[in-house]
Amino acid sequence: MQSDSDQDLILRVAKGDRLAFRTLYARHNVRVFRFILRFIKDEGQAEDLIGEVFLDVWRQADRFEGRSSVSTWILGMARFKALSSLRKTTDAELDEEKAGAIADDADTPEVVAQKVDKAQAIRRCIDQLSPEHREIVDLVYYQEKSISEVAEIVRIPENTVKTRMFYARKRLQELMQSAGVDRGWP
Amino acid sequence: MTTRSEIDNAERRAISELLPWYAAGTLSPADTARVEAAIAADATLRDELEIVREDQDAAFALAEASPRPSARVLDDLMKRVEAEPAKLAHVAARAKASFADWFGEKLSMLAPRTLAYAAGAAALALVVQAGVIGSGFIGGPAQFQTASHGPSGSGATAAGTFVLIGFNSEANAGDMTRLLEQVRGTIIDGPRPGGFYRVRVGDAGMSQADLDRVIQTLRGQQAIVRFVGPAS
Repeated sequence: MQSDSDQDLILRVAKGDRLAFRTLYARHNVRVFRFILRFIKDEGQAEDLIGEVFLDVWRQADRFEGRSSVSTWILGMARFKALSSLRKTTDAELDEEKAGAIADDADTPEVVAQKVDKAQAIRRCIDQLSPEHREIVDLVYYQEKSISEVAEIVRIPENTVKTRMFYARKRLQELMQSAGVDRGWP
Repeated sequence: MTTRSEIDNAERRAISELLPWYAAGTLSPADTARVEAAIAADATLRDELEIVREDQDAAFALAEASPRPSARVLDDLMKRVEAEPAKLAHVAARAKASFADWFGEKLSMLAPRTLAYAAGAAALALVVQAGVIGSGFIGGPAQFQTASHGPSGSGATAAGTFVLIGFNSEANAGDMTRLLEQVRGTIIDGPRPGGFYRVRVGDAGMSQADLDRVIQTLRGQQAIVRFVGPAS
């Protein structure tokens, strides 16, 4: 049996179909939650936000125009809510400092290289990217979003999407080289 | 040569920028062909693609190791959805689009508090509907009085033969109109608690066989009608 497409589900949600809404939630909640966690480190707060995001999906389903995929539409809302929440937090900048401090407290890249294998080293280095670079790496590799979809979610031009991803990869290479792993690029 | 080299460098950079999406399979067909042509001709781009794939695997593994939301999120969310009045207003807005102008106006005239009461009444009507459906198996037409208001001093008192109809929430107004035209039905009263309408389907004294035929026609449209039964 063929499962309903996201588009079918959102049309049904617009008519008040709770089963379709549950299905849509089941399909997207994990990826959206993990995307929110890129911005909001606190899991409880991220759970509150994902509830807000999907409540908006329920309320605004009839306004979905189908110009992008449903998941792109939801991720766009999630990003907006996460950033709004960060702005409300008066010590948001402090959090970034904290994040930097956490990175400083972590093993140095050299130590990482000694401790873990290459794949683990890459993961650790990805984790040390700036929030902007981390976000785009996540959107492209994990969320599997196209250039135009990333542009829509992050609200930047497509050319900026491509260059941002390019520099995220370069930064990752630098971190890897610092960890003693030279992969020969760039 | 210098010019050609610069163009090649520019193209190489452009291809390099596209590699992550090529690895993820999210490039357009035209760009995919462009990347494939370039990596076929350039070994360094193939090496770079391998690095991209390593990064892709690592990013995916990293994300997959992240936590999942707890079950309480959906529980809380559904409670909030149940408390939402917005869909009633939405239904009213949609209903205004066609034959249900009349129904939409009725809904839109209701204050939010009234809508809340209507929702409560709808819940009660589910119980009533269960009784009505049960009575269908037992068989006495008078049993359907349960969901009717009974004669009152309005158009609802017009002479005729009536049925009580509950439309599916997903039925659109066009389908409902066509079905009513097919059985020459006219909405006399409603929506009553549970979303039932009293519909005139013939003159007073309509034969039982004709009434049964109308009811069978309506019951045959399960995508549009969720309940139908004779009404007084």
